Amino acid sequence: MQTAETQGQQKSKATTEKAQANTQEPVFNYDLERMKDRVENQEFVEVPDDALESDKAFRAWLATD
Amino acid sequence: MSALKVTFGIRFKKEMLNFPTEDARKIRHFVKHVKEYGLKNLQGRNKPSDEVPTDDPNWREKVRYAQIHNLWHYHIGIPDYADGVKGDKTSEYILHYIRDDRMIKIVDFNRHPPFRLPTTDYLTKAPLIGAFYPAPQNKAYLLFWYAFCFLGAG
Repeated sequence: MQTAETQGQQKSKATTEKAQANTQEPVFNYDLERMKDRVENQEFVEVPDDALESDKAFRAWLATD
Repeated sequence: MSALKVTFGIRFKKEMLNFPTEDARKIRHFVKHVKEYGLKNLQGRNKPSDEVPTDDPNWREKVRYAQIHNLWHYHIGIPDYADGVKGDKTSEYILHYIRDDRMIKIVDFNRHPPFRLPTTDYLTKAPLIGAFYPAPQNKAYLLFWYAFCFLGAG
């Protein structure tokens, strides 16, 4: 089980990493973006009801391929 | 609006594994609410992403990009909620999603301001109209587009 301090460090690290990733504005080059869209058809997966019952169940679902 | 189906983009789903438990819980509660009640009576502000601040230097591009992909975003309450000027609640972090009549597709999560839209790495294939809509900076493509419309109409 994680301690409060470990969770705090985890949150701080995740927030910092996300903030660093967000420092650059996306480049709005539509020609390139459209080409990319054609070859990378992003897939989506539905969230089942039982994955929303608890933090543990949700994290287990997130870990599935 | 009634219950909606909720899906996650594969890329964002993988990233969420690294989220702190408390943050993942807030996203889980949002998903549960949408699956049961739709997008009504949410705690945080929920709005279409084409309402870009007019002082944004990329205003035109961002509005068009948000409209092509039908992007919306929800103030998820991370780290906390503050009272918004419109009587709703806002937060530093927002959850981006693609919206249609029957489902939402959650694609990204980031901090604002400044307001940043998810990149196409996080999005699905553009709708047909978006895929063929001419980019204003590409004059050759624009010419081809008009010729295509003209010949098609003729």
